Formats: sequence, C-alpha cells, structure tokens
Amino acid sequence: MTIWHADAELLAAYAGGRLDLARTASVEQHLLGCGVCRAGVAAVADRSLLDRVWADTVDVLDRPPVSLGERVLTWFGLAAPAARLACNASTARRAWLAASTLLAVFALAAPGADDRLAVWLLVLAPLVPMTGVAIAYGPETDPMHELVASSSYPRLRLVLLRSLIVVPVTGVLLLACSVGVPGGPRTAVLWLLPGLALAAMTLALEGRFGALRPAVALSVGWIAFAVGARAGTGSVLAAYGPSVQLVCLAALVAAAAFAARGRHPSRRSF
Amino acid sequence: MDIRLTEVTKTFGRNRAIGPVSLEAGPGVLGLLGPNGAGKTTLLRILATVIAPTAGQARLLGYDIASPAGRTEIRRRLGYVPQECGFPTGFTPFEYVDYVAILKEWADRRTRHDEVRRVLGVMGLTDVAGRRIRRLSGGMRRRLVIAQALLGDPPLLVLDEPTVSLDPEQRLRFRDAVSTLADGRCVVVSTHQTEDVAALCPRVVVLHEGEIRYDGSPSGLAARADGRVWTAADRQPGAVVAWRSENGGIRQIGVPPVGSELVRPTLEDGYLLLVGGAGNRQEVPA
Amino acid sequence: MGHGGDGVANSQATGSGRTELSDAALLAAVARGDRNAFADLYARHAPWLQVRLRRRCGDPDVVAEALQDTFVAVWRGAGRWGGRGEVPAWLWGIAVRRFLNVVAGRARHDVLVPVSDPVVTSAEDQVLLGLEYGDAAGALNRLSPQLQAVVRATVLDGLNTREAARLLNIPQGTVKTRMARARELLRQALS
Repeated sequence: MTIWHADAELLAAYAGGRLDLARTASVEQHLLGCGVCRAGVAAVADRSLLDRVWADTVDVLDRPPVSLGERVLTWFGLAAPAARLACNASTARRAWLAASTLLAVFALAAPGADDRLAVWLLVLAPLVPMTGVAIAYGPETDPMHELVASSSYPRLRLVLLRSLIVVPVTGVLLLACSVGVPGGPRTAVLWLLPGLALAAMTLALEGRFGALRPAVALSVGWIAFAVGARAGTGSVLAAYGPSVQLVCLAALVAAAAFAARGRHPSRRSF
Repeated sequence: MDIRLTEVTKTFGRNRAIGPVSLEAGPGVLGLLGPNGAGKTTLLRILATVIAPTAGQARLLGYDIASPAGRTEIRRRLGYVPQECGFPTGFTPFEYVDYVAILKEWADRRTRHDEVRRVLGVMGLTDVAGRRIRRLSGGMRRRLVIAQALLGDPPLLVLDEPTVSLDPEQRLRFRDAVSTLADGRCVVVSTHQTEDVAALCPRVVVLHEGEIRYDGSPSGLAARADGRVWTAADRQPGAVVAWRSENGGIRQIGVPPVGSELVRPTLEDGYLLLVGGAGNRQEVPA
Repeated sequence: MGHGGDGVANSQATGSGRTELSDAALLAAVARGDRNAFADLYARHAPWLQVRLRRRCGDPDVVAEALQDTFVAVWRGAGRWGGRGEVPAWLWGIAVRRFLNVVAGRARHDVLVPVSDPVVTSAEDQVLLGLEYGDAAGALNRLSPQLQAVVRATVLDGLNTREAARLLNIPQGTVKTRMARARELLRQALS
C-alpha cells in the first residue's frame, strides 16, 4: 500500500479554515504522525510570524538572569543597565564584603568582649566605605579595566554606581557598631563623617593617582592619627572630637565638589 | 586620516617606552610588528585612549585625544582588543559582551541583545554563549574579546596581539574576518607573527625600542633583505641571525660571505634584519 | 526543500545538515543545550503548530505569544520528554496548554470553530485519510458549534475537563453536560 500524503490543496484548505470538523480532525491527527505532511504545511504557514517568534524566543532564552541586587535597584528606580553595572561582584568586592561582614559580626559580638577591643572598631570602621570606593575602579581590582578605560561610559557615574554597595554596607555596619560600641548609637555614629570624608577623598584623588595608592596612604594616615590620638589622651574617642568632625566635613565637601567637576586629564592615565 | 600621531612620546618614570613616533593611517589594515618590549602595547593603549601620551599630539578619527569631549567621541567609535583581558567571575560570554555593550552606552535592552547576538555569531561563539567563560578554551576566550570589539561596527579597531593562543586554523579564520572588516575601516593589528602580517596587512610598521624602524609595504620590508639572506651548513661569521630552516641547513641573515647560496628574502627576513637578534626564532648559536 | 527553515531569521536556524536526525535525537540535543538542534526543531515543528493554533484562535498576537511560550518551554523542558509517545504529540500538548494560559488571561477571545461547509475532497482522499469516523463524520459535522468546540478541546486537543472549561470560558459542569450530549447525539447517529 502506498503511503498517503495530503496534497497542497488539502493543506491549504485546512490552514485556511475551510474544512469541516471531521476533516480538520483527520488532517491534524495525520500531521501528528507524518513528517512529510508537516513539511508541506510549512508552505502555508505564516512565515513572518514564525520569524518574529523565533527572534523573540531567542531573545527570552538569551536574557542573562537578573540578580537580587539589580532587582532591588530597579525597584528604587535605577535604569536596568545602570543596575547591571552596579551589581556584578568582582573577587575584590566579595573580599571587601566578607571583611565588612566580619567587622559587623565582631561589633555585634563585642559587648561581651573587652572594651578596648570594641573601641578599635571605631578605628577600622571608617576604612570600610573608603575601601569600597577604592575597589570600584582601577587596574588593580578590575579584570576588565582596559576595556572599561577605553569605553565611553561617563567615568564618574560608573565609579558611583559601583560604589553604591557602600551605602547599605555602611548602614549595616553603623547598626552593628551601635550595638557593640560602648556609648551606643551616639558614639557609633561618630565614625560616619570621617568614613565618608575618606571615601570622598579617595574618589577625588583617584583620577590623578589611581585608586590603590590614595586608599593605602589614607588608611595608614588615619590609623596613625587614631593611634596617636589615643596615645595622647588615653581614649580613641579623641580622634573623633568636634574639631575632627568639622575637618572631615570640610574635606568631604571639598572632595565631593572636586570629584564632581569631572575628571581632568592626567599624565598617568585617563 | 583616521589616525594622526605627531611626535608622540610616552615615558613611565625614567623609562621611555615609545617615542617620538609620528604616524598617519587611513582605512585599511595596518600591521604593527615588533619584538616584545618594543612598545607596541604602549602605542596601542594610546590609540585606545587608555593612557595619555607624555608629549606630542594625537588625533583619531578627527578628534583630539587631549580633550575629554574628543576622547568620548573617539571611544564611541572604537573597538579595542587588549593584550591581556580578564573576565568577571561567573560570567557567560553573553553576559560579558552585554556588559561591554552597556559600557558602550547601548541603553535599550532588545537592540543591545540583538547586537550581542550578532557579534557572537560573527566570531562563531553562539553555541557557547550560555556557558561559563571559565569553562572555555583559551582560543574561545580570545575570540570572545575580539567579539566585544566588534560591537557597534566601530570605524577604528585596535587589536593587540589578537591571534595569540589561537591555533593555526582559527588564525586563518581570524585573518578572513579581519580582511572583510577592514573594508572602509581603519584596523591596527599588533603582532609578533610575521605570517599574520604578510597575509593580512598592506602596510607594515616595525617598532623597535620605541621607535619606528620601517613604515611601508610588506614587499618593501622583504626587499630590505635582498642579497642578505643565505643558507649554509653551518653558521657563518657575518650572520646577524641564524636558525635551522625546515629543509636542513641554516638560514642566515647578515653579510653573506662571498659565494654563498643566496635565497629570496621573506618578510620575516627583512624584519629580523631590522631588529637584529630580537626576533623570536630559535637561534643557532655563533 | 520544504523544510520551512529558510524563512527563519537566524543563520543557524536553516538546519545545518541535521535534517536526518530524528525528532527524539534533536530533542536530546536540545536538552544538552544545543542551539542549532533547537533551531532545527523549530524549523520542523513551529510551522504546523502555528497553523494548528491559528485554527483555534483568530488573533495572531495570541498565536505568536503562545508559540513563543511553547518553544521557551521546550528549550527549558526538553529533558522532560521521557520518550513516551511521539514528539509532535508532546509538542502539541505543551502548545495547547501555553495557548490556554495566554487565552485565559484575556477577557474575551474568539475561539475559531471550523465551518460546516465541507470542501469537496476526492473519494480516494476520504478513504485514505482514514476517516474512521465513517458515518460519524457527518454526525460530527452536524453538531452545534458549542458541542463541536467541546469535542475538539477534549477529544482532539487532549485537554481535561478543567482545562477545557478555562479555554472555552464556561463552567466545568457545562463542559461535562455538553460532552455527554455530544456523545449521545453521535451514538444516535451511529445506530
């Protein structure tokens, strides 16, 4: 017995809806089992719709998964591409997050521990936002630095986006310190201005010196200052006196204004 | 003129990496040959606006590299393949090229993703677009970095040793891809493989110790070694460079002794004559 | 070469010489993440699925969305085809349910029902089409549109009562009564 295949006319009638239920049912049942006739139906299918659906399907499949951080940022109103730039965690950032978490955990555990140790939190905490900003850009921490440096994306905006993570981390650390530091929140909040000032200074100096050198220099300088203040007065809190706060505020404003002016062409790099 | 460098110098501290270098280039492929440490990467990084020259002027695509606005315009029309490029952990090829596309200011998701698909297709990476980069071979990773340079069809392409870690077959395919790309576009390719240059570049620039030693056609470079290349059974005095050739015998470049068996010079011979013993041939010791 | 692959927008979708592979083999390749195999599968099956869906709904956007959802589901779930039954039937099972999802989300939809004026087919065609329905064919065609819709949804498309109810926008009880009525009428016609 010869194998029967539907002719073009029948398939066209089927596709055009001109067959009754019984025949439609038969054709459809036949198609389920016959590859040749399925190919025949392709001739009467809607080609442009098929192309469009293929492109859309591929588009859905290719879409990279959106991380939780990106979702949070877009919920706050940030554009999706900017959220992408803000969120991919490099190895440097993961290390920084780990260190900050350690510090926060230490702060929470501190009430039971030695008071002197707890106070050292106040020395290290300001370095956290600064380091977060320092690792946001630069050949030392970015595996794609060459490509980033040769791209047209506004540099300052990129650094700020990548530093966004500093905001929640600083908040968490602040809360943790409120618990762990003797003197509670009123003392804990003292490190905020110095921390922001250090971060802003790193940002401002980054164009000229890169990120790493200012960060290291500022860290060493700050620790030396805090140690010196403690040695002088017996308490680390001397490093946080009102005059220090004022200086930090001034430094913060100046550095922010400088950074916002836009990058000036430097001899070293762009 | 797409590239116009005038007396460009770059020093790092006390070390003068290149300069002064003057160069003009229009559409077409320009091959930058030179041994390691010659300053090729430094020159290309200046072309890619990654570093600024210490002295001299540079105009790319009509824009001045010294002004921030000029740099932005150049970057919008530039594709760059750096010599070394890392990848963010956990990224797939698609995510990587998509990330670069965002950096190149492709804001609309659908057009951006369509473009990502296009360049991945051009470099033959569609099948692995969803696989983690760390699982890909060195050759595929190299192709991936080349793919991102093609985003947006830039009129200026700067490729730093793009064929390193590609096998011969891939290198052939790469050459084909670049020749088609060069249509109406200015492409600067640096390499220390003379075969790539011979096959691909109508114009060769030889860089040695930071200075341009030759700027012209490949045949002209080969002609420089006319009458200076010979083969013999042993290395002979007067040979600047000597290595074992495929058919036995030692191929030598320099001042041939009288009565030597002269051979027709290749591009590589001309190049080696220029850079002395700094090429990458396995030498036969004197 | 009537494979319908030429129109598909994407160079690897034109079936790079894999046309000898069976559907099962293609599906296995898709489960491994082979994009080319997926393109071939699409080229082979999207056309008839589109036509069949078109016979269920007049809105091309609905058909397009259902078709897209279908193939996204196929890509993600290719590993779930356990080898039972035939691939086309499995594909239709996915397609009709994706279609159901799209359509149930819209307030009104027009669900096409085939016309009752038959196209004249040759006697040979009728025989070879295996019209096992025989005399029932006429009776089937004489059913009212509502009954035909229910019969098509449950018997032909393989939906259960709940799904048919969602598709036709009627209560499940109505589906059951109409099915019973249809069966009754067909039994009468055959006796």
